[in-house]
Amino acid sequence: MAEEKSQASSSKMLTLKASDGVLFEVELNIAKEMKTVQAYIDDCEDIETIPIPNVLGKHLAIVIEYIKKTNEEYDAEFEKQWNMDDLQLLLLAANYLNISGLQECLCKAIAKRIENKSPEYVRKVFNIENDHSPEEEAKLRKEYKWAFEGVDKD
Amino acid sequence: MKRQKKSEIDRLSDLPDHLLLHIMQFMIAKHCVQTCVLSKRWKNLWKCLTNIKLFDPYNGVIFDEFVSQFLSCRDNSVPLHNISYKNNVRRNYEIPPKTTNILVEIMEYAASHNVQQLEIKAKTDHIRNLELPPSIFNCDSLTSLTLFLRGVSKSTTKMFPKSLNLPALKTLTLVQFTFFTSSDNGYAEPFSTCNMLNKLVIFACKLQDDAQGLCISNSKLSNLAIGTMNRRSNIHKVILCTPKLKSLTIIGIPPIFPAPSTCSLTNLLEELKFDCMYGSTMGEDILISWLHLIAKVNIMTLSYKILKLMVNILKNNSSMRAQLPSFVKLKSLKVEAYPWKCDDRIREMVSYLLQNSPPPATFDIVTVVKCEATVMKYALAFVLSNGFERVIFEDDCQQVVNVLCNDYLYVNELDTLLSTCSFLFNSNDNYNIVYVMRQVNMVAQNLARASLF
Repeated sequence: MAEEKSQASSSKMLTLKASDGVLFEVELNIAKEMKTVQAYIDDCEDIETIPIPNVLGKHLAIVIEYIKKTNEEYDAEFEKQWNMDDLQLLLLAANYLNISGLQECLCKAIAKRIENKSPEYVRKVFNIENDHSPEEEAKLRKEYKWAFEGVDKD
Repeated sequence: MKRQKKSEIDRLSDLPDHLLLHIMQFMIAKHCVQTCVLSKRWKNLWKCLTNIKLFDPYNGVIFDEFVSQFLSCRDNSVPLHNISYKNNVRRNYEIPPKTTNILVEIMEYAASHNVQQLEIKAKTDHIRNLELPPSIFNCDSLTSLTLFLRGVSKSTTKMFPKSLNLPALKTLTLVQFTFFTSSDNGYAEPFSTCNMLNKLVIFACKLQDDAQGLCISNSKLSNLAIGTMNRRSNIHKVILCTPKLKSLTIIGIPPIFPAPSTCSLTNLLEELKFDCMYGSTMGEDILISWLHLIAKVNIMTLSYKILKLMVNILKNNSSMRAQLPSFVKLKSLKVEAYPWKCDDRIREMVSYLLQNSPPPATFDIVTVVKCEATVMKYALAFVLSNGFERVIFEDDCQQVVNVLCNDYLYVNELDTLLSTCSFLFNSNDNYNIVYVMRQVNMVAQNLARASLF
């Protein structure tokens, strides 16, 4: 597997084990981009396999790929490939693994997809249960009417 | 209420509050407030935002009313990191008096909430005698400040305070201010107390009438950009005590002051950039001093306009030609030009300028942003009006590509242009843009040239 970020100084390999048992062998400097993993290594120096209980293999693979390749152009293209469910699970993964660059990229991507849409649309896309009563919602819309002017009708 | 299917899991609510807030921070304030109706959990979440974007792409007249309400509803116990207010609306002149204080309101709110980064870009035509609150110039927490208050005409400026108490400030951008002298030597030295200052941009500013010049004295400053829009600026002399200065950029018209005299400037200065897109004259003495400074840097970027100006002055003045230095240290030279400018002609001019010098290791001609943005706007309009659904744009201007990919809203000379492009581009998910190098973009170049005839 071609390593885009390989460095001569650090050829030590580490194994990451995803929640569904899938194993990934990565170079130490790649793994260190995940601050959570870095903390783990700092605590137990001799460790060779690190369990990542919150992240599925499919998402861990994407995260590792991101770390290897990331640059401005890659970021711009990266987020277009994933559906909303994947984006959110990747965000949870990036948050758990503490990778700030990826987290930033994903938050921006999700924001872009929900911004400019009406609340009804956003609720539909994410299956958010509306537990406001109609009166409560009307009250909020009235209270903040200065924020509700000029929304997309879609 | 029980969820019915596994696939209908409430995804966004699986994300903890701090991630939801992180997502919201990329949305403009108006959309953040609108999330209050999503569900009970979301009702007050927006009030905890630490990064606030006060922009209004719809240019609503009641935008300032919104801002005022937003700030007063916000949860005051939550720290504030970043406020950005951009309003480029050309206003009609009948505005309720209440809204004319919004800039002051924002600045005072920011200062009293220990903001770290504050950016205000606004047209202030309608505000007579805008008085900036002192609190924003006496703020321990501020690390980045941008004040771009465009006045009625290009010559009006705001008064900049004589003394600043911004001990943490690292980045400062000021447009259209007047600096006053506070010391006996007759120089204006407005930023000397900002010990952490690393990056400074001063554009279209003036000095008090009898000032000798501008003195910038900051031990950590590594990046300086300075410039003016017209020759009426009275900054005729600049002194730099900036031992760590790496990069100096001149913006606007060709410099009206000689290359800065310095204490130890030339030791570290690596890069000189002349971002001069207009203006057609330059004093000969001034040019000589800049040529001597160019001889000391490794990297230089020139706009086509200033390259042409320099070459013309040299051609018409044989004694100046005799003084033309050898640019031995120049490793990299870039020229920014419009696509219809002939590359060969550019090369000719560069050869003339470097007649006493060895050729630099790298030489590039790149396409200038403003032109690209104009072209992009027409392209987008064409594509939209003809109903093309899927389009790939190829652009040899990295900055335009970045803007469109990252959804910025600019407020400067390029402002409306880039904002329009960004807005149009992002209206369709199937529009994509890729960067191609200028030399590769021959189809576009040839079309551009052909259209001139």
